[in-house]
Amino acid sequence: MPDKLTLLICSHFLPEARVVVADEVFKNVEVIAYQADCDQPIKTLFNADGSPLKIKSNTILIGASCLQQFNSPIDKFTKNTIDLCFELLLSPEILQAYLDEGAHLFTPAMLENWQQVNEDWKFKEASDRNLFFSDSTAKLVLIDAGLDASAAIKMQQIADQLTLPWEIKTISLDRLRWQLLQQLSIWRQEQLSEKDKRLSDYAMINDLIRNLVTFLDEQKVIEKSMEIFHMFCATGNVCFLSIDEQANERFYPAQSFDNEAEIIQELKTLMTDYQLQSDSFQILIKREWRILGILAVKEVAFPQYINHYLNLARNIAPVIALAISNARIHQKQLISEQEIHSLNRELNNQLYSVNNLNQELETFTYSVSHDLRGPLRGLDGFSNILLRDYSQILDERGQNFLNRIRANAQRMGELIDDLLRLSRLTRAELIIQSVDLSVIAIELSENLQQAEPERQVNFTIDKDLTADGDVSLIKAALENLIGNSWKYTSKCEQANIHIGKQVKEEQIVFYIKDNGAGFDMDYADKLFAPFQRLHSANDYPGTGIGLATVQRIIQRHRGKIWAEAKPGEGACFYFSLGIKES
Amino acid sequence: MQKDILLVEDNQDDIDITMEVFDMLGIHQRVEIVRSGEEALKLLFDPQLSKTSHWSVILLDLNLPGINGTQVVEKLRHNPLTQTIPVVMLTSSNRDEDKQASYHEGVNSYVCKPVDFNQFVEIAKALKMYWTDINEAPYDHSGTIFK
Repeated sequence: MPDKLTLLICSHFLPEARVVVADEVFKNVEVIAYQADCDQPIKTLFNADGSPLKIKSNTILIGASCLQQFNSPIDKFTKNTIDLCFELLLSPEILQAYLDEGAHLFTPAMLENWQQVNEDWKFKEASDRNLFFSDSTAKLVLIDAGLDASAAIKMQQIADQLTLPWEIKTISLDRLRWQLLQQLSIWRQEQLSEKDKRLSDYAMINDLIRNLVTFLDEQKVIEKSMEIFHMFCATGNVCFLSIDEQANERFYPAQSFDNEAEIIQELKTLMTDYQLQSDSFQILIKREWRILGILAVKEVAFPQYINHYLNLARNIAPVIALAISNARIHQKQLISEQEIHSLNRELNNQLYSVNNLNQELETFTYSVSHDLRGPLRGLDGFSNILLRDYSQILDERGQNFLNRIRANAQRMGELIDDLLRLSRLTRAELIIQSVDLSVIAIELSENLQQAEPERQVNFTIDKDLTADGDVSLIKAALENLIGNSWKYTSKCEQANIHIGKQVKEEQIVFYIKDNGAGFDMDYADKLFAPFQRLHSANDYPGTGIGLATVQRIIQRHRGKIWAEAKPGEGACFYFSLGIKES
Repeated sequence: MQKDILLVEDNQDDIDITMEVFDMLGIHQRVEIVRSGEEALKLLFDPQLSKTSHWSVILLDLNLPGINGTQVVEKLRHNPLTQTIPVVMLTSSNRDEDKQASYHEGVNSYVCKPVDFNQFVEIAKALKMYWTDINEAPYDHSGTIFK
């Protein structure tokens, strides 16, 4: 394999080209120049020193717009001619703008040439410029890469002589470097043996695989894939049609096409895994039978390798598919995270309104406690005063009525107090800890016994009835339940109250069992509703709030409460406490 | 020296019942009645009146038109003229928050008025015993001591 490349360039651009090629990347490249004469092209080529140019193999002719009309000498070279040599240094847009302004462009090397011409022709007057410059020449521009410090002075001298305005356009050599590199890489690609080429291809694919799967954005994956084919197949014409699960399409063109809709339509006609034409191919990007997109590569620079390109594309396709698939999953995850976020926000809003409602309830209970009790106090107070101060005027019946007014007022006061207690119990924060129900039950039973020492009640309280819960709430619940048993056994000759536990379906269930009045199970569903009573208040006084309170407490502990009973035979209340951890 | 009782209460029924109870208990001190916190402060902070009036206790309702009972206590406790007069909050509310706020501002006692008249009589009896019979305020309330 020949290891040296020769770039043949016009002497006007030689200093710039030499600087570029001095870089390590161009280590096997040499630059030689031919003697240029833009206005009077010569038929044979000479070295810069005037000796005949010896042509080597592996020589590429760069620029040389002046030589295009001469066939014989340059046919021997690989040609990379361009219409305007200054495109080596300037972008076509900038160059065109200068030409439109009527600028005449110089490189520093051209200035030296010009000085030689000047001496040879002995110019004296400004009008002599017409010999070399057209009338439309409006200004002189030095394209300066900063290689020749004296260039500006030379430029000024010439401009003064010709009485033309002048300016300096400072440039970097990136554009020239890029163009020469392109030549070098095309040449190297051609020099590689088939085996070496495959190796370099696989190195590239390896790199692609490594990078592609790290991108989490579908657009990025597709753009990177297209970039690889763009480089790999040496074509600017690569496009990708992405198709998602909902059959939404997104077209990624490498350049803007006027007939985009047509191209998309054509891509969608692809039914087989791939399709091959002389200088182009299309391939389906699939994962588990699902089509994720279609890749199209057209106008490849070396159609003789099209089979090779397609083969590689078929190898790469699954990786692209995997990367796209990953990116889509990631995208979905992002969306669901956002959804969770917005759901959370909604939940917070609702919590906020619940808190507001609680605040309202708080205000309401406050007005209940204050505003309803006030009038009752008046009712009871004035009835009392009437009874005391005017008893001689009122007969027994009248006094009885007044007493009943008082009893009603007091009962309503109790109802209000109980309601307030219920609402407070429901709202108070739970403080969960280990609670010994046996200890509480013993204490409660002793209190009851002390309050009515004349009653004969046989309490059986099992030991170690422990659970996790809020002590004060559980105590309130037991107070109600044991109090109920105490109350409803008041007519028994020998009252028995048993507090214990049993295990039902792997759950501990506590119970309070008595042999009291019991109730009809037909009404069991009314048992826990506020103000619902299954017995007359005359037989068993009470407000009807007690069991509603107990149920709230048990519910707040995520437990259940239920009862079994028979009229005249007693009742048994069961409850579980759902809270496990403290 | 006979000291007066100041009753701050906007509800006429409550005023009548309270007066009736005082009568029943044989409390014959003069009872000055005002119907709002503003009126109470005007009376208590009057430099002329403060020289001649001596209060054994202020019975203060919590829920009043205008400034409420706790605000009245706060102002009383920040004024040398009234700093040491015993104040009993007498109210329908049995909310913990109200009790805490009242004691925080410096009431001497917080009493929840019960619905049951007889219970109220018992409470009034205890209050009378403590605040008018037994208790002697630590300072003379004329204000001279702080001048």
